[in-house]
Amino acid sequence: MSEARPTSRRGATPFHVVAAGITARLNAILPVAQDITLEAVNAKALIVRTGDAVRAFRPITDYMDELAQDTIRLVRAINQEATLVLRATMEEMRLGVLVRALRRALDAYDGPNAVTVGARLAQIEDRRQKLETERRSRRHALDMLITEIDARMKAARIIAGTSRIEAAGAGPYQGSVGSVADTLERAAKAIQARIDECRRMLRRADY
Amino acid sequence: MKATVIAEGRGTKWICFGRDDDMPEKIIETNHFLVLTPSDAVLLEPGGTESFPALLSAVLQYCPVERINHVFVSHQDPDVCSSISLWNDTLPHAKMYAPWLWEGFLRHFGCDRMEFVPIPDEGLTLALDQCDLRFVPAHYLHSPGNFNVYDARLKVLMSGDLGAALEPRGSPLYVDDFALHEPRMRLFHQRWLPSRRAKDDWVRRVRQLDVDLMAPQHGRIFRGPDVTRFLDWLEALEVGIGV
Ligand SMILES: [Fe+2]
Ligand SMILES: [Fe+2]
Repeated sequence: MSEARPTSRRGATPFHVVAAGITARLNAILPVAQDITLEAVNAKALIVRTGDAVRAFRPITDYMDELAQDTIRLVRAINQEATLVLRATMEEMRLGVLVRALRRALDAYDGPNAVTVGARLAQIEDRRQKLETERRSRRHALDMLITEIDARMKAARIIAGTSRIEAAGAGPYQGSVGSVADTLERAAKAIQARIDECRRMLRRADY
Repeated sequence: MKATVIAEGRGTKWICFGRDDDMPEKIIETNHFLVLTPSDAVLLEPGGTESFPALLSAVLQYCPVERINHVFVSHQDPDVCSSISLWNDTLPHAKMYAPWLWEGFLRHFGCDRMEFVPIPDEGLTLALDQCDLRFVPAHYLHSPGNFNVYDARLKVLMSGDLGAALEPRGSPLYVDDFALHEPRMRLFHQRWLPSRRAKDDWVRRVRQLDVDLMAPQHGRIFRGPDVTRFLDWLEALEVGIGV
């Protein structure tokens, strides 16, 4: 039977504290993602105004829109996963307390009246172990989602670079196209910074 | 944790659990009670999380958990019931009786498996196979929703925080000299009880009951004439002095 107490590393932050921190940081990402959507709208308006001059810029604006929507979706998915990991963690902690308490009681009494408590302890321990497995797989899913959002931001920065090259050929619209690229770059950087913080927090989480 | 049979007869046994040598010093000592009949058992004042392992193992000396069909919680304090989430998983078949006033609050501890039976303000009677337990109102003493437990056949009153004494570890189970014991109760009653009206009303009602044994949730048990001495003392005491 595995130890009921979740293994805790020295100096590690309890997971429920980490989950709350992640949620707060992710919520700060949402307005930035919405800024990208707005900027994509501006860029599309620019294309309409200028016609052929910045036509090559069009796929980039479409991508920005998609990127913003994806970011919002991923943030929501991460938040949901963090909440589920948190819930599983809290229940696992509660059952861990119960398992330890029942074991202590049975250490002090092992007469005939202990049979039912012993059976109940086995059931509770089983529930706790299932939760531990669930928590581990959800924690893995959370890491994957964070990796995915990070990959999107890296791609966004590449697109921003491409847009700047595009801007060079945009004649009088160079400034406008450059400004869209700058906004995209800034937003991607800001989101990446938040995601890095989330990653660091998860590394410090106690399990 | 020590267990003592404090009353016995007519197929019923009252067992008092407490005086746990392993309890950390800063945690207030508590008494817990088990009323045992041939086919039923009622756990009164399940206690704090810290007491749970010791109390459970002590209770198992007397009966298996499947016989404990009822749990009584006099009021919302942590020393009375912070363990209920643990009992909830240990006695999923049991009913938990507690003041209606505290239901929404007590549920924060987690008691979704045991059936919650809210006790109305006027109290209720729990009928067991060999005895009836009456949940007697003791509101504002100290908690605004609070009950004592009275067994008319064995003449036992479990008085919750009333009669509680703050004293060092290792004190005896029974009051042996009321005059010596009185100072140990004074601060607790003066500071914790907020209402003279509620106190006087309780004294008047308890005087009408036939009580041989008054067992509080902290401190010592009062026997025979000491029950009357306690009622006289409490009646004369000025309470609610924390202002
Ligand atoms: Fe209390
Ligand atoms: Fe108390």
